[in-house]
Amino acid sequence: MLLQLNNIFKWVNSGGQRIFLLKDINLEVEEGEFISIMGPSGSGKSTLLNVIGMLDAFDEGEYNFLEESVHDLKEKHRANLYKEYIGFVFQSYHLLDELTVQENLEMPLIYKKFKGSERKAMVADMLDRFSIVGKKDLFPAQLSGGQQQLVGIARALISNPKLILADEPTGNLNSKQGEEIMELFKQLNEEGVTIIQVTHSEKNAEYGSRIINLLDGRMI
Amino acid sequence: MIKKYLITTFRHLRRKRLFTALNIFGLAIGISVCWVIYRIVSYEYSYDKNLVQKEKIYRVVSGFVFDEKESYNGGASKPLYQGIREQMDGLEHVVPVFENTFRSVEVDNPPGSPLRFDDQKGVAAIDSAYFNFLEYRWLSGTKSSFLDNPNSVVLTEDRAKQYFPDQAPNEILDRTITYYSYRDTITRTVAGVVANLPQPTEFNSQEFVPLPYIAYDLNIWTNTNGSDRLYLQLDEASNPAIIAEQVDDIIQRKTREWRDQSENTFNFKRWIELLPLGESHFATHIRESNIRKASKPVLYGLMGIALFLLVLACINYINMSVAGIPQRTKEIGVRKTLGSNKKQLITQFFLETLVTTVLAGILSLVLTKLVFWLLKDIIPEGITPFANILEYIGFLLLLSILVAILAGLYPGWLITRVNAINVFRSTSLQTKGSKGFNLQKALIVFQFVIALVFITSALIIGKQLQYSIKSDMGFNKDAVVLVQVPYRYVFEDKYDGKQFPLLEELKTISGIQNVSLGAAPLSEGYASSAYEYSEEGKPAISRQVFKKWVDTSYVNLYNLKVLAGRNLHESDTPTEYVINETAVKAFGFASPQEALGKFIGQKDEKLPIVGVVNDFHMRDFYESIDPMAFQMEKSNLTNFNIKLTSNTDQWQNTLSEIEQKWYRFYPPESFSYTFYDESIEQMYKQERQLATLVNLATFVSIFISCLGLFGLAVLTAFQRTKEIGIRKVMGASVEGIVRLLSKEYIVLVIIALVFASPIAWFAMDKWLEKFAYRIQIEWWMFLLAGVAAITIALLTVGYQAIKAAIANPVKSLRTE
Repeated sequence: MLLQLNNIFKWVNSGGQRIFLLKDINLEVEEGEFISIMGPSGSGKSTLLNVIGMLDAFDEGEYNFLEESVHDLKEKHRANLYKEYIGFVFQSYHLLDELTVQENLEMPLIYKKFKGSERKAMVADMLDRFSIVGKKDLFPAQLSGGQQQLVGIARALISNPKLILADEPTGNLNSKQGEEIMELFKQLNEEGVTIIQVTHSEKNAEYGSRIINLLDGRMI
Repeated sequence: MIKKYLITTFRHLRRKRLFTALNIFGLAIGISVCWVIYRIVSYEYSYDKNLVQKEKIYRVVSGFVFDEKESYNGGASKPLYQGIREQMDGLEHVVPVFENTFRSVEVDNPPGSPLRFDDQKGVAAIDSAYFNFLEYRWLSGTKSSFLDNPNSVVLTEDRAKQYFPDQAPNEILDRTITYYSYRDTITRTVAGVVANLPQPTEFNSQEFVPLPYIAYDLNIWTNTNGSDRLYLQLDEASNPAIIAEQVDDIIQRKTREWRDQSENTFNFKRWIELLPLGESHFATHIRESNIRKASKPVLYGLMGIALFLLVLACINYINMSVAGIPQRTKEIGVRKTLGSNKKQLITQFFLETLVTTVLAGILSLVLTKLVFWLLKDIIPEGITPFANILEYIGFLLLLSILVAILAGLYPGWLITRVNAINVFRSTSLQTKGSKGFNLQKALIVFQFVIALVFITSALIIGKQLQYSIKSDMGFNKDAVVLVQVPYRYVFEDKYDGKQFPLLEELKTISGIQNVSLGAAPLSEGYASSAYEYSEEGKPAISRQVFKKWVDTSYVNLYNLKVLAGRNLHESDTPTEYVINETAVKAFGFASPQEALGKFIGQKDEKLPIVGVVNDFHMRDFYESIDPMAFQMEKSNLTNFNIKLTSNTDQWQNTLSEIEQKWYRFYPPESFSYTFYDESIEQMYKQERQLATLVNLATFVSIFISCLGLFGLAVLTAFQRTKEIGIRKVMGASVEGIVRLLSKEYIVLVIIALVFASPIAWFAMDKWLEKFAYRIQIEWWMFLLAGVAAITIALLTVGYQAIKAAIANPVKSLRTE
């Protein structure tokens, strides 16, 4: 088992009232799964993704990731855990504007303390795999949305994560670009990467092996 | 319309409280310092500004060369004015002002006992020319009644109030005042009271007595006394260069005449210069104690400091406004789409700047008082923070407009260039060029260049001062207390020779280790004469030698080393000399041993050298050590050097014991002591003032720069939240982010250091050049300044960087 959420609650207090963002979430994810999280705006999809990605804390419940109890871990260990095993893909790509494609790919490797020669090899490998060698010296602003997201995914994959978390990865793309990205995810999943995506689109959700529906923070 | 603008402006400023506060504070400091310096500079330049025909008035000063050293004296030989009057044309007025000092002055005060004033200054002997030359308003009495009576005196209003409190000028007429000088006593009758001249003025005499016509002896022509001032007012047509030449000619002729008559071979050169009255106040090369001087370089320095600090504050404003534009693009975009034109946008922005500056001006009312208090040692007496509130308001308005233009122009222009369409695109709000070297960074570098120049200068000045005061001067000054027999008792029969029994009494005090009579080794006052040494068959060597009158325990008390021969022997009049090493070399003796037994001195009174002591500093560090001769002459021993025991706890007791003994010989008010090391510090008053000033400038420039840096760090952290978020999600640690954010500023400070170091080095090298004994400028001083600046910069931006680094990336990466 890759991860397990038991009775996860997350809330904020507003005007004396407790507003639940996540309510009693129970979820088990096996390695190699491709899960789509769906639900209307404000249903807690992104929050759930952030909790899984350990970017956000929760108020109650247990979270086990690869036999580690995330809820008991200190901030630093938690950061090490997600650094090693999780890659993130965002709706608006979140590439750094002042870095080239190549440098954007290299950035997470620097933080993971890879050596210069290793980094070079890994970046070259990734550029090759995604067929973007010719674009390596361009800046994000010089790429189309689909190409930017391609770089975003390549960046998420570069340090071989077990899990990819994608928050509406096709939200800013046209349908053709979106399709290409989803095909890519499918292919990655077949190669053994676990993927959890948040999406609005039924069609994109179909790519997954399992669909989770959220409404007002609750799984239905 | 204006009202609408104002309302939005105030709302905007209130919403951006932090930046408004930083801007106002920075500008207020700049404005306060500017105002204070403006007050000082305008005061110094307003000397005698009301004098009609000021540009036609010149002061006669004398230049000398003794021993190949040039020096100036603010006076002219007493008889010179008579010579000029008799022999020259083309002069409107020839005005002698001969200052006298009196031991004491007694004012009759019936029915009570007379009021007594000691050491009165500002009594000038003048003749009819003076009151024709300067227009005084006579409050009582007349010019003629004053001139007719040789024993009359005219007082200024201020002096009259001191002598005759609560009495009208009319009531004072014909009252008597008795003047006690060292030689005689004169009783004078008050012939009039005049209003004080408008301040500030060089003509600061407070009492006027008639200068009698005296037929001076020829040898008086060779005497020059700084207190005998002489002013000339030229005719319209006269050329000052020609007049100067003619005056000089009179002096040279008289000198030749005197040389022909006397047999004195003493070689000196003297000439006359005409100093324009406007320059007199700034003539720091002429040492004078009665007239306050201002140094032009110091004033220029002050103006430079004012300008720099103001520019620093403006830079802050520019930087924060520019950095704030990305946050305002939405507002500007909305305004533009709703039909606002460029002019209206710029007006809005200028109004913001103007309001900020005016608020800063109001705050600086308070700060100005603080600056006055901080600079109280430097600001000349007579300058008040706000003499004329209208002047302040005018100054403030002018400065506000200047600052508004200086600081508002560039950001205003940038605002108009915001493209309305871009604003509404949700993607990429980042400013371009955040990596490159843009104007903001250039301005920060400029700020730090100024701050670093100040830091380095403060460091070097402090070091030199410490060196001047603390380094080995060749004698041991620790735990030495000086007590001076007041000058007015020295020549009074009643107190004649009293210092010797007192000396014996002091020796019995247990807290005193040693006590000696004699002039302190390093002191402001000194006496020198030309001494000669003649070896048979060779031409005589003549050298200017500093004379120090000391007793036999002096060498021991100050730990001076006797290098050859012996200490002085007790005697009433000089019978022998102990000289220093420099004198040994100056007279060409091969070694200290060699000098023993040789005779030196003024012609016909040569005495043998019996000992040689090590060199020690006799004057401040601007002057090199000169030849010196110790000699014993009891009548010249008026200064007690008291070495206390090393037990500091006892010092207070010992001092009060000394005081008790003192009262048995001298009148009570005459006792005052100074610790020697403190009095040496006092000698560097100007340098310490400079140090205070530079320290303040350093502090203010750092402070203002840091305000700007802080503001910029806040904004940068805001602008880079998205980037920081991404980096954190990609695995960056908090330390990594803090390093990333701080690195940029450190690079800026290092660039500033590269520019600042040569500037500081050049300026400080120039300053140090004037010292005969000075520290070396070393590389670590620049390094230390750099480290200080980097530390301060880090402390300033560190909080913001840490705050940005520990923020949760989920928030910053949320897609709207």
